[in-house]
Amino acid sequence: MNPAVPYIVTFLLAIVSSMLIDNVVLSRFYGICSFIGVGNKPKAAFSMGLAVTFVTIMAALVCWPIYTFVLQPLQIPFMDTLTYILVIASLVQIVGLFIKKYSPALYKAFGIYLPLITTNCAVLGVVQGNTDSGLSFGMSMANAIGTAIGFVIVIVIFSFIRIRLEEYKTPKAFRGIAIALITAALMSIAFLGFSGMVPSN
Amino acid sequence: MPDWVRWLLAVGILVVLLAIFIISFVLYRKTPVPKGCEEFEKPSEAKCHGCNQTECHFNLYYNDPVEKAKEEVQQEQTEEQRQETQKEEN
Amino acid sequence: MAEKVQSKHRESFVSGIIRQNPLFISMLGTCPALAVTTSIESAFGMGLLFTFVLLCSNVIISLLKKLIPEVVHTPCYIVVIAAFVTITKMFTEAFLPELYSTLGVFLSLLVVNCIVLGRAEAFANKNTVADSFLDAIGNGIGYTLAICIIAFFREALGTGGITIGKIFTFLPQFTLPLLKYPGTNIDMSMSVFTDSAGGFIVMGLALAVIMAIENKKNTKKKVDAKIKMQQEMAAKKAAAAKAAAAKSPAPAVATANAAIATPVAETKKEEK
Repeated sequence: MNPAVPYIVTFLLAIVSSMLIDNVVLSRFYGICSFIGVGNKPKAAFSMGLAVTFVTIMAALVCWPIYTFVLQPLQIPFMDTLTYILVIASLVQIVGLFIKKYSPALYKAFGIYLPLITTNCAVLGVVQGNTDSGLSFGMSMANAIGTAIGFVIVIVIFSFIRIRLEEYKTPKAFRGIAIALITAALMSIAFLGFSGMVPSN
Repeated sequence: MPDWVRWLLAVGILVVLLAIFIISFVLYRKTPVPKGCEEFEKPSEAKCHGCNQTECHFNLYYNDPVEKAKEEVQQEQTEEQRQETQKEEN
Repeated sequence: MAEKVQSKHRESFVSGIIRQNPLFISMLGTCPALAVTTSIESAFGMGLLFTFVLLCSNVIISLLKKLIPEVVHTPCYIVVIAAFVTITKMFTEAFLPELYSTLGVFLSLLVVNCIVLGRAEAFANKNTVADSFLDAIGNGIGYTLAICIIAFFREALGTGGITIGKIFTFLPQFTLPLLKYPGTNIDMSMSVFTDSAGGFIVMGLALAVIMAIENKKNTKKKVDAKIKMQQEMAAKKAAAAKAAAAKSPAPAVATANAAIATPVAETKKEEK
């Protein structure tokens, strides 16, 4: 950390870096299953993104303190994967419970996608990656926020692209998933254009 | 800290987290869906789109040749019936 | 009875390899398939570890299937799978540290791998231990084959040759030159294939090939099913026409025969 730069700037740059430069889907390959599965419905894509944002930020908020203040002092760091997956799964159920009971509007918005987030690679990948790389709490939260926003951006853009793709006559073998993957490859090359944005120090 | 204490603590943490998970899981299953949202609970396209099983009926890429054959035969049948009724009218 | 059991064993083993390949046909487990396939050694290592986790979890869940109540089966499966993934991580860190540092987070992500959870819920839940064992080995072989194919193309086109010995250090280090010959000036490798875009491209092309094969099989099945259904309908019509002709004059039979002849001729044209 550069002492001449205020912390808020480092924090924001870390968010931008994990949102655009090291994008969670196009560069780190975390949320591919739901990326392909959501298809050509922008509303469903946005709901899925909203659910992933909720769960990622809360999971990162809870898991880093558990690792640093419970698992490491007790010298049982090997329990991290087991702990994280149980915490993520419990968080999903608890959030779902609250939404079901107290907020029908939020349930309509993204409630049905919540149980699918437990097996989404993005959430566990971000949380495990934070502690594997030994990041501080601020950088972990920046990573989680950037990942979530990046996921929403990419999944919504991709669903709009797929609406256009269906209007064209692709060859029969490529129709559906194959042409979607090749389009994702082009998106990935486009996002490479962001790579010089944040100076890595 | 001696080894057996560490293992005991690990198992203890595991049991506590598992208990929290199971309790929240069962409570989630048991709370009813809010009133406006019952239609979302039935199997529908919105639910299955997030999953990747291509054998699921609601997946975007579900492709069963026998069903498609049945649909086409039924379409031909309805067209024939329509032609017959037109002939009878004429 | 013994033949039925044996054929069920063979069926559960063989179906995981090609016919219901977990990556190409069921489209599960795509996250590691794009991320660790930059070199064929890491893909093979990932496939091996995946097979190990799948095997252990399938066998244990099949052994415990009667003890776990129906309501809580998902939490229990998650705990069992996570326990085996932790054990695998510790073994890999100890015995194959290069593989551990190459795979990184994706070894922990085997916990939420759709294939492992899917096989546990769909197969190990309802079948015997022997069937679950064979199913796990079949799926493991299928997945390893699939990611090794993707890794072969990505590495050969991206770096120009296949390198072995970097990760499995007990093998002699050896580079098989395919597109890049070190002594000469020939260098036809395209580095886009080892970047993130290359993973999407190779996977998309592989899926297109699989889809083409599936489409051919499906058209044949569709045409056969259609002919069969039309013949059944024609037979029913003929029977109904005969019953009607027994009471009414001959012209009804002639129109019924004409109606039968046209659909069968149309499907024969489509088949050609």
